[in-house]
Amino acid sequence: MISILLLGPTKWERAAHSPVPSELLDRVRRECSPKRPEGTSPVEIRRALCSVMTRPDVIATVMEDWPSQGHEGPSAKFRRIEQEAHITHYVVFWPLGGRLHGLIWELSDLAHRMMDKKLERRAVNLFVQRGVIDWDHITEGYIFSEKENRTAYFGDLLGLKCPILVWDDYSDLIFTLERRQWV
Amino acid sequence: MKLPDDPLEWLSYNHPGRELLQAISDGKEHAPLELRKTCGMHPETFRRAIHTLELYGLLEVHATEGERLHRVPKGWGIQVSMEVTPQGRQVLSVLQGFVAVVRDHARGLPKATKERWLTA
Repeated sequence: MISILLLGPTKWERAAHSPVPSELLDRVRRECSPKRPEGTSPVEIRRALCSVMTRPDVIATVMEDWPSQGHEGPSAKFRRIEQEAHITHYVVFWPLGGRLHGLIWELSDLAHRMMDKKLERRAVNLFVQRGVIDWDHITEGYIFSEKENRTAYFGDLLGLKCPILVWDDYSDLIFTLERRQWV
Repeated sequence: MKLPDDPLEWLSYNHPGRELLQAISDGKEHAPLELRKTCGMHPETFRRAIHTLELYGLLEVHATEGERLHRVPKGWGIQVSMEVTPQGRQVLSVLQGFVAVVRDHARGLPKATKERWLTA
């Protein structure tokens, strides 16, 4: 069984994030509890993407769906979720207008575990929207167009050869997440 | 254009995609520039084919061994490499088998079929 933790921003840094297609909006509405205000915050989009990824042999979750216990801090919560949900894979979702600063500890923890050979590079997948990172025809490599909102640890994960997929729009992202074979 | 669900269907009419998948079939990591030049592709055709192969999960892009984010004139950049995924290898194997069957039966097949499958 593949169990995926979908990490990503919780809030938009800028209002000008890319439009979310109606297909995903419908999923956001279905996935959100009636008490939760409807909208398209990055958390709600991640929650909807989890439903896109979940199939008989794959289950995906977001940290925000796991209530904190007692005086548990974010790092302890991260470790507990990994244990209780038997996480095998991580996806770092980075849409335009989202900021990753809230994930500094989590990304550095994953990078450290990879450096210590406790985590395989293919267990961490980076899904970044075009505009945050772009293909540079001159250097034939990727270039960060997003000058801010990144953490140094995201660069570490890149350098550790985690697979990176640069998606154009949400239709692209849904297409690939529905089909992906997690290895 | 909406992509078909089946990558084999897409590969049946997308010559650049087939050519690229074939070019990385050795399982090694390939530098984009080397790969593009080997296939003799326009940069944008190359980028699109790579992107679609990645969407289908047939090809993986990751940083080149030993590469770190570094300063480039436009900001921060990183060199990447490309390699076939296990799924890509399977799809390619089916594709090659199909091409072999088409070649074996080429004499009796329509011209369009031969052109599509044997001239990539």
